Amino acid sequence: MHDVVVVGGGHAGVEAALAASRLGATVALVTRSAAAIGRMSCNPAIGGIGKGHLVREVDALGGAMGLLADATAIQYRTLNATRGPAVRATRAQCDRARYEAAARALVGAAPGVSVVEGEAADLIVRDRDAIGGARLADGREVEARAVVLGCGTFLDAVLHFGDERRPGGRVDEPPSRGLSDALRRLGLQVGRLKTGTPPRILAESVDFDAMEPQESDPAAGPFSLWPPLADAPLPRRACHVTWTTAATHDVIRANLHRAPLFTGRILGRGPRYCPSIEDKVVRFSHHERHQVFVEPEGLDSPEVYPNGLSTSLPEDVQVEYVRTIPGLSRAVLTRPGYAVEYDFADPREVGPDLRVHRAPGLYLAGQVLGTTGYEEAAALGLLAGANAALAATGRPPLTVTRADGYLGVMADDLVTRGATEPYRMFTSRAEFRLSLREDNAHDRLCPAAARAGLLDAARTRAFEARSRRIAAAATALAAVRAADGRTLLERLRRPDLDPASVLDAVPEAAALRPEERTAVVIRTRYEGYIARERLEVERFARAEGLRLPPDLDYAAIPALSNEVRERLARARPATLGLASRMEGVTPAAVAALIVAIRS
Amino acid sequence: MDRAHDVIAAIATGAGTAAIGVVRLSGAGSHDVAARLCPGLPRPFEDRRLSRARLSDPADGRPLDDAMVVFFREGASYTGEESAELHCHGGPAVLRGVLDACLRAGARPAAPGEFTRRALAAGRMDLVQAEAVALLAEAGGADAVAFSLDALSGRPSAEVVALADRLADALADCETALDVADDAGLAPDLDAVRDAIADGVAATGSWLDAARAARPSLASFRVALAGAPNAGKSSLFNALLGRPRAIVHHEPGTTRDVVGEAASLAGARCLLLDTAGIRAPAGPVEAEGVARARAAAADADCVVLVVDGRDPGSAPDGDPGFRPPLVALTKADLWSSAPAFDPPEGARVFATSAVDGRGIPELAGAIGALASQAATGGRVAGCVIAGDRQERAVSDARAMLARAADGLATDAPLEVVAADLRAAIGRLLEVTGRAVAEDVLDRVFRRFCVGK
Repeated sequence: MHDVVVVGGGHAGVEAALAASRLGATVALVTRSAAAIGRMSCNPAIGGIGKGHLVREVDALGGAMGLLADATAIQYRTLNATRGPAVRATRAQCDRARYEAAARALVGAAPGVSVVEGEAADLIVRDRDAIGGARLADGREVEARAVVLGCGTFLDAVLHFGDERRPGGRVDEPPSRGLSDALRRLGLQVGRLKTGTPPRILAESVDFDAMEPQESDPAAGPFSLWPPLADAPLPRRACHVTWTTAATHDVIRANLHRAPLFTGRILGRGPRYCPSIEDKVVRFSHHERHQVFVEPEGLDSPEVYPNGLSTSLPEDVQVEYVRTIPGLSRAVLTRPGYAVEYDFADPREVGPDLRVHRAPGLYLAGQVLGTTGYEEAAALGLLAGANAALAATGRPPLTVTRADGYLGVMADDLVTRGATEPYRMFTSRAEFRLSLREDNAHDRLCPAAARAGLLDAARTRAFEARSRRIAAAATALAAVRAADGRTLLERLRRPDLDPASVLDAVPEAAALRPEERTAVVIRTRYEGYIARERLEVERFARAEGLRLPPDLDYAAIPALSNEVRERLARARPATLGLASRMEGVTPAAVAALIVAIRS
Repeated sequence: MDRAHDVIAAIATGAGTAAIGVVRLSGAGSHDVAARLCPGLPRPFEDRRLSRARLSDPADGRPLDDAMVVFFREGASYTGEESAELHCHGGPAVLRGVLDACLRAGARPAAPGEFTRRALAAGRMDLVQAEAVALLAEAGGADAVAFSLDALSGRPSAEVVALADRLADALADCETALDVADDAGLAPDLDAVRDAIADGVAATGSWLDAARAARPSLASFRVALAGAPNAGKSSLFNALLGRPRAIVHHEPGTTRDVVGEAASLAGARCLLLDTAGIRAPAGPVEAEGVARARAAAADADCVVLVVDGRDPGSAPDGDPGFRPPLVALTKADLWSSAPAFDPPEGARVFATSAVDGRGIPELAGAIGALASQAATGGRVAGCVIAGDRQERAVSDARAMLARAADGLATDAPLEVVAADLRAAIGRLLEVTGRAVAEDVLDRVFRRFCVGK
């Protein structure tokens, strides 16, 4: 009997297993192949706008993704470098093979974690729908007090290559059958989503000189605050930018009748922000060209990844249109792109701790919960794994609020609004955006992580020492006056002064590490804006925090549609804020709720 | 029974003698209540058609009136609920009798404004329209009637929503620049954002100007009672209103927040404001009260300086920040000879007593005359918003938009500009309580080819 069974060895499963291990739980990680642990199914990059924020939060909660990305990064960039600090975000290109190997090594070394190779086909369900483990396709049973499902795009998955469709969760990997039905039997709503991936191209067939190189930014990265996994960083590699042409669009238009997206064969909703190339050509026909970002797959990989060319057109069409793109005229495709349709559970079935309401012991994370992206999966996996372990060992759950992190925003969005397309993190989803930055992720989350047991003593001490250094630097800067009578801290606010010259004037600030210097500058310059945001947030919280009585008769509130009434009656949100963010709950409905609870 | 939807009843027409008076019922079951009063009327009742009915008391069969009744089914009435109206002969005794019979037949008395609140809750109208109904009920002049009917038509609400909608598009442009541009190789164009914000500043500014110009015509001639603590402001306030509203206490500093109430003074509609006593404050709460009192006096259309007639020296010293045209020397029942008091320049002085009522009609007459004078100067044509709540929301929105414009001009971080823009849209939507159609992210995805 284990404490926790984790089904799936992707980014959600890895973080879930490692978080449970850090909390002292015994874990069985069930995966079809131990070799697939930590696999990057799509592009070999970690981070990006909103996503880099999540990686920093995973790091603050003691997770692995930041360390893995840092150990295998072959390029760093800071996105939104010309914008303000809240939306600045780190992105790393990683060596795919080395990333997967490093993830495997971490899981292998984690105390209490055993890897079970096999296909999870069913859940062991005990009295009152309590979950007692997973049943494998070959009949083996893996018993546990809690189960985390992080099975990605595998649930009853179908791959589309043009007209051809075959069962599969990733190319050459069979789907997972049985778990969707197990979820349905528990009474969960199961829906269908779609995503896609581009063809891979043989690197030596690419004319990189015909493209614009994009080099690594030496000032960007790392993600992690903790001692690195690798002794030395890997060499850096460039990405390359090219564009589709009128000829590309002609080829695609001439073959739309062979695109399953347009012939009605794909029914699942795909992400609007990550459309396939055929979707872009049709929906944005007035655009003359679309960007293609050619990413290296690794230091010694023979392939490159053409980001922007995700497609489900047949392979011969892929070859034809790829060759109309500058730099790719002699491109050799090593693997065709494809679309995948898969099942997911309605995230409104889980609570803020990611536990399924109606099945105690069952936790969901990642694509099975309606998200997309490695970073989203990792953050939710960590939360689900931690809560599974906490519950299995009789400790109170860990939750993250919208004010504390993007993880809190994402969990709250999912559990209150559900998902109608794969959910991706965007900074505009956060009402506390100015306060949720990469530079303060550890300040926001490390204290709670340490209390829950997710940070070991060494990391807790390292975090506290960092906080003390930053506070001491700010105190020292406030104590020294410049010739104009202002303190150095006040001078630091002036955007026209080089912050380095101000910081170097006092030893406490001069001695800070680069990441800490950035934190001091941002905190000081952003203070006024954050104070203003806090006022708005408090205003919002007053209405937000209004309690909705647990016995409120939604059927008797006339302004609500029947659908919204049923949804409210089912979910019984505790506060007006939770209700207001549910799908279909309009401001008019919120006004009606206010009237109902005040009369 | 749930208080939000039980049957409520009230006399819907004004007090006093009239040819016709209406008792109104609303809520599920109101047809049954009405039916008990008119046993002779065959059911089912015809929808929205006047029928003649003899009304009698369901308790003892005693005749109440020979009336016209009309029934509204759910979804087709003012409140959106099942409702009924009993059109009786006017006259307080008849109406009182019919209302009492309705209450005995299962209805409860409606709270003030409850019919409109139910209409609001049922989505029959937005907040602007609900406030127009209140204004229409109080309307003292043709201008106010015209304004209320315009607001009730939904035109001004639509104008506010249209601006919010345009700003939401601008916010979507900002969010695209922030969330996806650098990832997707887009070069965002912020000129449209700049234009939308500039237009927003201009529009909200003109709405606020129009709202201020309309104030006198729209029953909001603001009269502030100001003075030292315990000068008798709250007693005078209650005496002018003709009913107790403010808490009166001999302990100085009892009134801390500004208390406002609509009043009819010599036929003119006024908003009467009772304020905290102005003195060197004893603590932070009182300090806030004093600050609010000064602000209310400075913002009022007319200030009545209230001075304890027994101790005129207690009036606030120095420049109070306002110029009172009227002075009330209070507690005239407690002093006999006129106190030595040097009134502010040009002010008229009244000796008043809240105990025996002396001087109150004269003071009310003087305030009413000033209000009537001001009302002739009001302009309501083209007015989009009106009233304290709407003015405050729009004024907040304007300040945020001005800051956003300034931020764009001075290269402040775009996410800070977006935060102001988002908050401004929120304030505009508070005016009507209605939302723009789409979430900002939906706008981003609809208009831009984003992603990898």
